Amino acid sequence: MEAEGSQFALIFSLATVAMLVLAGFIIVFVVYYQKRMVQEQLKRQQLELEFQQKLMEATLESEESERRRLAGDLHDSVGGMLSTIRVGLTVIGKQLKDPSLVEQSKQMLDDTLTSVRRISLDLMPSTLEKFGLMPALKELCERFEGASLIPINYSEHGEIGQLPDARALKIYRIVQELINNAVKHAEASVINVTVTADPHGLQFTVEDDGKGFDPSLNTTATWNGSGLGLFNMENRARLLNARLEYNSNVGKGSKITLYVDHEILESLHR
Amino acid sequence: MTLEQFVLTAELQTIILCLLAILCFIKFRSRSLVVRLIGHIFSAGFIANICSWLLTRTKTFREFSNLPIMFYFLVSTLILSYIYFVILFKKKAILVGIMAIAISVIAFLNFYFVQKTSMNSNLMVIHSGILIWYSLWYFYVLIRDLPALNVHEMPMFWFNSAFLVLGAGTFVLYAFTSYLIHVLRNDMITYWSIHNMLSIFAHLIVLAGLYFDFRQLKSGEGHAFHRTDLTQKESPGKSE
Repeated sequence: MEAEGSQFALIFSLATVAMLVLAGFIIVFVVYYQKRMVQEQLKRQQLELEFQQKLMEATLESEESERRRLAGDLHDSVGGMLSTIRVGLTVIGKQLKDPSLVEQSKQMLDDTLTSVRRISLDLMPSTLEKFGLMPALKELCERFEGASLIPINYSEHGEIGQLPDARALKIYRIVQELINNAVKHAEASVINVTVTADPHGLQFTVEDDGKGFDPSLNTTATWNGSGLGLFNMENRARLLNARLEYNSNVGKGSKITLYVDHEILESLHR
Repeated sequence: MTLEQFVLTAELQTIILCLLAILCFIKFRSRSLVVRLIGHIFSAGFIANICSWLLTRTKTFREFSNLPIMFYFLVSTLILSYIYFVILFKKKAILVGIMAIAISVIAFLNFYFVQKTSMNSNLMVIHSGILIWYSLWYFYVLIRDLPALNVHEMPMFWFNSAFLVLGAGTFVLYAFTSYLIHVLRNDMITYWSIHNMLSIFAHLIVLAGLYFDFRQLKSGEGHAFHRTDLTQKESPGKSE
């Protein structure tokens, strides 16, 4: 009986311990497997995000490159030819008995040259490449003011240093889009563009006293064109690791600020 | 192992069952259906233990002292079947009904014809087997669907682990109970004390689950732990 008892005790212990060990193993396996899977998922998401970001950057680079080419072609080829034609017309006019016959054509040509130069500047601001971001923004405000007849006040506060070209272009495009939106949609009587430098970074603010908008309705933009401006701005801001802050209510004007941190600016300088 | 030690483990187990039932029923309306049902299992276990103890104190009904335990295993199996089939895996409730009829028939056949009033280890073996089956099924669905970022913070993970440990640890004991009683009578107390201690250990694992459940209740996250499609979290207290 005792032998039988100890034999049973051994079998029982082994069997029970084996079952418990198996149960413990399954529990630990579930936790470990789940953590591994979550890590894999996060890694994959990170890679997808990086890929999307690179794709976006490549698209924007190609867009800017195309704009640069078009601006160059417009300014050099078309603008050059138009200028040559103007000179030719002037010479022809001097040889005519009545020079005023070509005046209308010369005026139309002047208007065309101005349009070509304006389109070329809109596509690629040469001021940005030659003199930097702040002079380019100032010129941008002056051009919009001239075109829209809405007073646009530009001001700078604090010590603003030089920015890397590619990033300066992105900031320029964002501010350009902000001013464009304010001019086209806000029905504002005045627009203020402010650049502020503080210990944290740079802030670019476009403020108007127009009809305002509901930011939440425009952030889910789709490619059918509705809200595409905000979508593009968000993308460029994301590539800059900057953030856009919307302060607007319907009927109460709007104030949109682009925040670019010093750390981001310093990392972009490296 | 002495009789006093066995009685101590039995009393401790009963107290823990009562405590767990109370913890499951605190803020009853805010708790999820799964926690409430598990609370009912523990309260049924507590009542069954008390009733068995009372029946052993009487001369007339002493032979029926296993009856409350039999009813406890029956009720426990049915509630667990409902939890796993209907709530967790979204199967049709009719499966629970079929299970209920099958288990009831087996229980009463065992009671009236096989083991009668002396023991109900056959039903306990089936109960353990079902516990192991359900817990393995849930773990399989868990690793397949990966519903939450930290599985170990899901209360149902802990409840399920407790059921698996309890089922795995007691399956062999229940399978050999008949042999133990008829052949190795004197060792019965030792083995049943081990059973009680294992049961206490499993209940402590349940406590961990209740801790995470309380944490979720406090943070207002909702009781999302018992769905396999845990992308949609439900609000606390939503009845199923």
